[in-house]
Amino acid sequence: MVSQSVPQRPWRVALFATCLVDAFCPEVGEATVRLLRRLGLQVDFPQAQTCCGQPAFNAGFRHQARAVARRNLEILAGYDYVVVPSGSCTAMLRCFTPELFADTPALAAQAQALAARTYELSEFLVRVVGVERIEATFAGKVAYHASCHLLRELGVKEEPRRLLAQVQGLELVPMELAEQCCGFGGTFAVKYPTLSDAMLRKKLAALQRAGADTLVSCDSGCLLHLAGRLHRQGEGIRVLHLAQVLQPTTEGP
Amino acid sequence: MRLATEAFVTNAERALQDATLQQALTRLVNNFVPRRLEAMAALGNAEELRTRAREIKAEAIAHLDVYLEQFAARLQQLGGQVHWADDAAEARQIIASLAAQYGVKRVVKGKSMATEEIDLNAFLEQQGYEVLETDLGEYIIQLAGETPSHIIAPAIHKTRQQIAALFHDKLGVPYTEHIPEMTQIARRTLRQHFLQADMGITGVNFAIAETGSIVLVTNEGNGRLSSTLPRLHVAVMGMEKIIPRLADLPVMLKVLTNSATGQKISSYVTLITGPRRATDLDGPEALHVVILDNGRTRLLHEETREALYCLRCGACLNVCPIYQNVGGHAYGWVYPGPIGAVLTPMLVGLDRAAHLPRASTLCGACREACPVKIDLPRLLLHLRHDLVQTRRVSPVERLLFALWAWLMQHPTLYGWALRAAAWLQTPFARQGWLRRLPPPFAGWTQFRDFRAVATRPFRQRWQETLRHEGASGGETRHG
Amino acid sequence: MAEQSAFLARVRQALHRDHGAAPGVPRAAPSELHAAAAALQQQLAGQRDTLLARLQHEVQAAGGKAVRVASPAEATAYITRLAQDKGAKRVVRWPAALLETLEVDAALAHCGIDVRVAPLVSEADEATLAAQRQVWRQWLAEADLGLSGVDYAIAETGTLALTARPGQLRGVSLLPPVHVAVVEAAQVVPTLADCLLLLRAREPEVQQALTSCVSFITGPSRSGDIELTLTIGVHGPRRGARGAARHAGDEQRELTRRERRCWNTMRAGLAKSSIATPTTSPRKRSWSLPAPWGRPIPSTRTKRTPKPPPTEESSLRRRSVSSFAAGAMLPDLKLSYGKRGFDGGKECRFYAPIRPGDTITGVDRIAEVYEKTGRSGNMIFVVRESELTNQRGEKVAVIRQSLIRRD
Repeated sequence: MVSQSVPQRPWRVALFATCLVDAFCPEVGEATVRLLRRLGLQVDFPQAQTCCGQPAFNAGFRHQARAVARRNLEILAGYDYVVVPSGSCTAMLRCFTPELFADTPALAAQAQALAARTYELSEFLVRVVGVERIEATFAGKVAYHASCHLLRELGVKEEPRRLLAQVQGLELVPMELAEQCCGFGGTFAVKYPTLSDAMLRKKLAALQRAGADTLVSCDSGCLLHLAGRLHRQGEGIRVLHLAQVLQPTTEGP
Repeated sequence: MRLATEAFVTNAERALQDATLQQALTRLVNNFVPRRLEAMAALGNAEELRTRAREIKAEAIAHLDVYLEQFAARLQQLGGQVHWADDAAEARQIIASLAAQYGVKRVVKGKSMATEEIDLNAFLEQQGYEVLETDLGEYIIQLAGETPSHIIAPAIHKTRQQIAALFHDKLGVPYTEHIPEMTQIARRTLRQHFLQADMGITGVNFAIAETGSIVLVTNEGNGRLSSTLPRLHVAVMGMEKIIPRLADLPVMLKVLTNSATGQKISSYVTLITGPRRATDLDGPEALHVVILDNGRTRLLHEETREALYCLRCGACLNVCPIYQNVGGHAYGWVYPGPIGAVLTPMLVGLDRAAHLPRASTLCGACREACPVKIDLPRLLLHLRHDLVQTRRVSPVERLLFALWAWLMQHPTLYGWALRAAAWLQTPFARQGWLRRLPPPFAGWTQFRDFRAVATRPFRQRWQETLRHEGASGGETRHG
Repeated sequence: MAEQSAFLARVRQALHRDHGAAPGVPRAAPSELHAAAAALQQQLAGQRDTLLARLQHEVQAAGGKAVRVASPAEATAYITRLAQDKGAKRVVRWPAALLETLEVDAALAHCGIDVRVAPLVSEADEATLAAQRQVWRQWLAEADLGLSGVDYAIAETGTLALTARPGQLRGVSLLPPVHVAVVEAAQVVPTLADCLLLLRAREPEVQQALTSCVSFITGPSRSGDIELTLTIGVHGPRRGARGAARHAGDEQRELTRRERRCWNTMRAGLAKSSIATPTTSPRKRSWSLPAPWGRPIPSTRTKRTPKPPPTEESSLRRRSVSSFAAGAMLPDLKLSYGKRGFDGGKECRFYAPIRPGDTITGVDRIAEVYEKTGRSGNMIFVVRESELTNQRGEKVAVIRQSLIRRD
């Protein structure tokens, strides 16, 4: 399991697990921790963390978002890196949190400092750790869904695909509309279910056309959304987070 | 134009059920999206051009008062007239009095979103003028008594069969579904009107402060005919159409046409500098430009200003997964799609269009497509914040977010809440999934199952096992 | 009606700016403009050939036609032939010096075509001008072909730039069904920015330089407003439209297309060769028409031609244009393209009636081969011309078919 070529790194890495992982897909968090440790990193999970504040921020409740985000400035300070297994929550920590504190210079500086150290998992592995080879095996035809914030806020496009390409036995199949929104959008999926579902159906139709047996993404929000529809339809397509493919866990999704 | 923004949800649901519309939207997406992508790629320096175009608009809008003043002065030097309209009603009045002053009977119109915005046609018709749209798409929807559903392809929602039937009914021509033939039918009718019209009304794509010129961009030539044949030319422009210099035009045109239709340039770009000169044998004897505010000063606020950079190319509509599913009419007013979701609430008021900024996943495809890089998701977020600030959200939502914020600031309680939820859901959960959620979350389970809260949330797993794995396991870690 | 000052004050207030704090528009000094324009002209002098090739390519890509000719006589012959082909009775034209040297009026008059030349109005009383405007409006509306020069032509986009100066009526390029513009090699510039620079360097005052109207024209009028299907000539002429409605298929496309032909005449004595590339020797084949033949095919193709008889005639057309020799679609052109080919449209011109019992001989040749980059990638256009003659050696028809091949 251990990748021999990876040297030990004297970094203290904080895992920001995100509330969705915490509550609904803890196995993604487990896979992330084990994966990072395997790469020679010391991983900590600051237990005072809860949420990045995005649900409130996106709904326009900036005051509430600020209250929640402010805690993260303290909780996540003192680490060399903050790694997040979600593009969307990374975008909140990196792009939107500094914006929330723009009018308070002291906090803005802290937010900027946090933003500079915060990475989404695949981005961290490729750009920071410089992972060249991941020893992992996975049997299946995998389609990759590029989540919106990861792709368009963070500009992370190729990293997840590059990592998937290193997995033995994994066949990465191209999917139409791979970069199109799945219709999740946080509270959008609850407030506008019909619209959300129309987008979701297009996505799943593309997935079916791609002939994949597994759908992989880097955001638990999208994954819960996609998996929820597949489960309702009784489809047998697996839905996994990238970390779960790179670091298979004992417990199934 | 009648405002139907409040009925967004009903409109959207109807649109989703409309098979013909869905077919038209698929055609739109398959056509416009790849065309733009290929055209932008072929430019080689698209990024540079978009940045430059944004800078030009940013400069123009930041000094809008100065450039508008300069534009007006330059145009007046040539005998062109400038009129200032605070709102739609004023703009309509100005145009109607011009028509009266010049003894106008017949009006032809080139394609213009600004005149849609001020609902000009109905007003002029009420006043007894014959008004004819001459852009083929606009002509079709005028005949049908409808409104545009796309900024640059107004009749995109109609099939050839519907148009064929419309022509047959309204123009008394033999039924034909042959598109070139239908085009000829429209052309025959319209050419007569062009020759008889006394007044041509057009929009304005760009107004150049330096030279007092207006620029019309069309593919059909409706703008060119409307601004050449009638003796009176009235151009209606939103005040944000200004660009500072003549030398800015090539950049702006390039990003506009490549984004709109994937063309290097449109068939007709007409640069009009004043009415015809004394020795010109054709062209209009008088040129009047109506500069329209109609709520735009509200957008000048720093947070929303970039919405005024918009060139009305329609690229954000084409890539928007919401627009792709519901089309333009669902948005309920003149400007659909992501830019409409920003402009409409700002121009008609948040009260009446509260759905529009909310009905988005903030996926960012629009920003990626925008020729002037308008950060549309951020503008939508700003409007959502405005909705909260002005208490235009439901009390239930307020309460939920207050509770949420409180819980998220108390990690221990949050941890207990997770366990409590896991325990409470047990009678309903089936193999880790919930089939029904109670209101206000029921929307999710209308189409999707919901993942049950993990019986052992991550924080518990960390506490119980993961933490120790790191400390005692045989894995490499730093010393 | 709002007052300008109040309107602008509100804008200023919303911008949180004080009056007068904005940068004015810096004006380039005339001497700078002239220097830049002169430098550009000098630079362009060495690129004429490339620019012409690009212009031609882009005009064609935009759906227009561009033909390079080596002499004024050739240009005149082309214009005359085109006017005849189009069945033009009335031609309106600019009084451009270049057009005068072509002596095209005489050539057209010789064919019975009425040519009206726009007057170079300098000063006249308003009554005379009003009368002239009335007359010209009528002529423009009735003209079958408009002949103009250009101020500049833009190679990058295949665009013609036409200013509205005395004699340069806007309507000449707008109202008649066919617009022909004659372009000199020295008028071709690379980009719109270059064009604007040269335009404004002409006059000290930019508003004078721009005239009342500069029309930038790229290809024919087009629309995609019905089901996003591209159609040409939405705002074309009344006559073309009337004729077109009675025609079907290929002929209609031919009739309704607003063609823009553009020449470069080499007045400076530079000889340019045509870029047409015949690559194979002509092939011959002949066949006899079946005896039970319907009505004769009309001898000329005018806009009033009734719909030609169906079946046999159209099958003849199809046969004659869909096989080259021995059933081959195309001879071996040694092109790297060509795994897939499809029909790029055809154009049929009839010169003499075809009657039952006639033996028709067809001679095919490759008239043109050129490359275009479309949405879906590179395409090679191969234009094959089939000349059909009857047993008396009279030319009865010429069919030009485009085949598009791509990889």
